[in-house]
Amino acid sequence: MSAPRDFDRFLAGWLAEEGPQEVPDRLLETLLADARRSAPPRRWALPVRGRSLSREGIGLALPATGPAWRTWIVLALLAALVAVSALVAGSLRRDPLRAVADGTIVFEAAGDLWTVDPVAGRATPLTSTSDTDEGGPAWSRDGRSLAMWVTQRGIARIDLAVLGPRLEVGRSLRAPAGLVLPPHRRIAGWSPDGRTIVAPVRGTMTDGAVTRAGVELVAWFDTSTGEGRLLDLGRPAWSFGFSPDGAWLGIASGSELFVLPASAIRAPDPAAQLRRLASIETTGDDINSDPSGAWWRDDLPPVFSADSRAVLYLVNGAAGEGDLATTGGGGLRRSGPLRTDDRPRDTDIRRVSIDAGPAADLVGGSDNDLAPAVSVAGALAYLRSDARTTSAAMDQGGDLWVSPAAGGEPVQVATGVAAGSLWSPTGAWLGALTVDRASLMLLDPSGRHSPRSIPLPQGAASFTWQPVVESGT
Amino acid sequence: MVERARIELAMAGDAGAYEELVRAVARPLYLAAYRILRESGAAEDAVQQAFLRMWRELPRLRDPERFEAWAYRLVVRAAIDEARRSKRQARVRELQPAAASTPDASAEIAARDALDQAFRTLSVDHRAVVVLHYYVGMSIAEIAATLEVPYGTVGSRLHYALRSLRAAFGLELPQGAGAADTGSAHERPMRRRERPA
Repeated sequence: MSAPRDFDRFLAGWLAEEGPQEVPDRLLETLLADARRSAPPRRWALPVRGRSLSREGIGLALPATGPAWRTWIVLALLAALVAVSALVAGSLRRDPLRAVADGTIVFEAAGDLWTVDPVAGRATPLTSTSDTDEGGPAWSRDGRSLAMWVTQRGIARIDLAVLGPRLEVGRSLRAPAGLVLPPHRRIAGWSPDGRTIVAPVRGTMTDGAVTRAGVELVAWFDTSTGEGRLLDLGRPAWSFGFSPDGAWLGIASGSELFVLPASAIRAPDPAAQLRRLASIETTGDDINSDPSGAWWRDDLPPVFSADSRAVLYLVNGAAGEGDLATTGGGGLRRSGPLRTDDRPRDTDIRRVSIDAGPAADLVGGSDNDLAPAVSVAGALAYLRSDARTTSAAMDQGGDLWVSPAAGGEPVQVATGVAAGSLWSPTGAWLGALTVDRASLMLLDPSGRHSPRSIPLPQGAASFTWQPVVESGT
Repeated sequence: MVERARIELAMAGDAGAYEELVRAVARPLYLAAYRILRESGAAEDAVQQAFLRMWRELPRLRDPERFEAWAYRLVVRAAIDEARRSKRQARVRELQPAAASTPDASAEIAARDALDQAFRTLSVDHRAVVVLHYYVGMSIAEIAATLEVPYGTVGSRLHYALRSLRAAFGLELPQGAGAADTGSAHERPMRRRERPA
C-alpha cells in the first residue's frame, strides 16, 4: 500500500466522505419529538423585573366575549394580582441589604446580581436591568466595594459599586486600547489594598513569527484613576488570583503555574519577575486530557494557602497507575506508564511552595478531589467524587470534605454538593451549592449549628462572600 | 450560524424556537459525533444525550454567541462518555459500500481502510480533536475554547493523533507539525467549517 502524498488532505477527505452525510430521519424525528415534549424550562424571573405576565403564564383563559360581569371579575382578579405584585416588588426593593455577622453573599443569576439573606432564608435581587447583564461579582478585601462584570450590547466593562441600601456605581473600568474585556461572567481580582484590579482581557500576542489574536491575557486597572494597562507577562494567562497577604499574584498559563510579586504588576517588565512553580509535562500520552480542564478553568483561579506561602492546584492522573511524582525543580513528571484511553481520571489536589520547593499531594487517593477552598484559618474544604471522570465529577457533584486547619482527619460535612464551596470570611460557615443548583446550603463545619438551606433562582453562580467590614474604619 | 434571536427565544422557553434550533444543529452535530465514534448507534445515542443536556442547560447559557461552540462541546462530551460506555460492549464495525474495483480504486480503498483502522485505535479524546480540526474546521484555539482545555493540550493531542495515523502509512510527522505552542502547521483548517443552518 502506498502512502498518500498529501496526508492532511487525504485525512480531511476521508473524514468528509466516509460516513453519513445526513442525519437519520428517525433520529431527527426522535429529537423533535423530545423537543415538543420538553421545551427548555423558562427562565426564573420575578414580576419585579418588569416582565409582563402573559395569559399563558398565569394560566387564565380570558374570554374573548362574554357577559360584562365576567369581564369585570377577571379584571378585578388581574388588578388584585397587579397590586400584590407591586407590594412584593416594593417590599423587595425596600428591603435593606442586611449584612449579617458573617457578611453578605452576592451572586449572579439570569443576568442580574442577587444577595442571600441568611437570616430571612431567601435570595433577593440586587439589580434588575433588562438591557445589561451583570455578573462576576467580587468584593474588595475591605468589604466596602463590589466589582461587577457588566455587559451591554456585547461590550463589557467593570463597574465598581458601593453597597448600601442600594447599589451605587462609582467608577466604570473599560478595556485599555488594543484589548477587549470578554463579555459575560468574568471575575476581576482586587488587590488587598484596593488600589488595583486585575482582570482577564483578550488581545493579540506575537510568538516568534506567529501572531495570534484573541489570546487570554491580563490587564490591571488603577481603581482611583480608572486607568488600565496590559500586564505583559509574555504568555497567555488562563486564571489568576491574589494571595491573602496581597504579596503575590498566582497565574495559571497553559500547563504552567506561576507567581508574580504584586509589586511587579506596575513595574516596566513584569515578565522578568515571574516565578514558575510547577509545570505538567505532556510528552508521551496526554495526562491533561480531561475535557473539563482543571485549574486552567476561568472560574478556578489558583488557590493560595492561608499563610500565602503555597499554592494549591489540581493534577489529573489515571487512577491506580502512573502516579505523578515531583522533580527537584517543582515540576511534575510521570513516574510510571500512563495510558489515558479509557481509564478513570484521578484528580488530586497538590500543594507547591512559592519558594519553588517540591510539590506534594495535599489530597490524594483514588477518587477525584476537586475545588479546594481555604478558610482564613487554613482549613481546607474540597469536593470528593467517585465519578469516572473529572468532568463528570464537576457535573454530578460530590461529597464536601473539610481538613481542619489544626490537622487531624478530614471530615465529610455534606453530600450532593456541586462545583465546590465558599468559606465565610471568618471561617465559621461554609456555603455550598446543592447538586441540582437550586439551593445554597450554609454549613457549620464544627457541627454546632444546623445547616440552613436557601432557595436560589435558576442559573445562580459566581458566589462571593463579603469580608467583614470593620466598624469605625 | 444559528440566529441569535432564535437562540434567545429558545433560552426563554419558546418551544417553537427550540424545535427550530434542534432542526438547525442536529445534522452537523450528528455528522461530527459519527466521525468521532465511527458507529451510527453510538453516535445517535451521543446526540440524544447532548440534546437532553442542551434542553436542561440552555436557559443557563450566558452568551448566545457561543451557542455553536457550546453545542459542539456537549456533543463531544457525550461522544466521549458514549465511547467509554461502549468499550465494554462488543463492537460492530460498520462496513461502507465498496466502490467499483479498479487498480487505482483498490489502492485508494486499501489506504482508506488502513486509515480507518488507525483512526479507531486512537483514544476518543484524540479522535475528537482530529474531527473538530479536520472535519468541522475549527482552529486549535477554537477547539481549546470549545472543549475548555488549554491550547497546548489540544496541540499535544493533535500531534500524537497525527503521529499515530501517519505511522500506519510508514510516514514520519513533519518537523513541528501539531506542536501548537510553536505555531502549528495545522493552524489553518483543512476544510471549511460547516456551521449549523
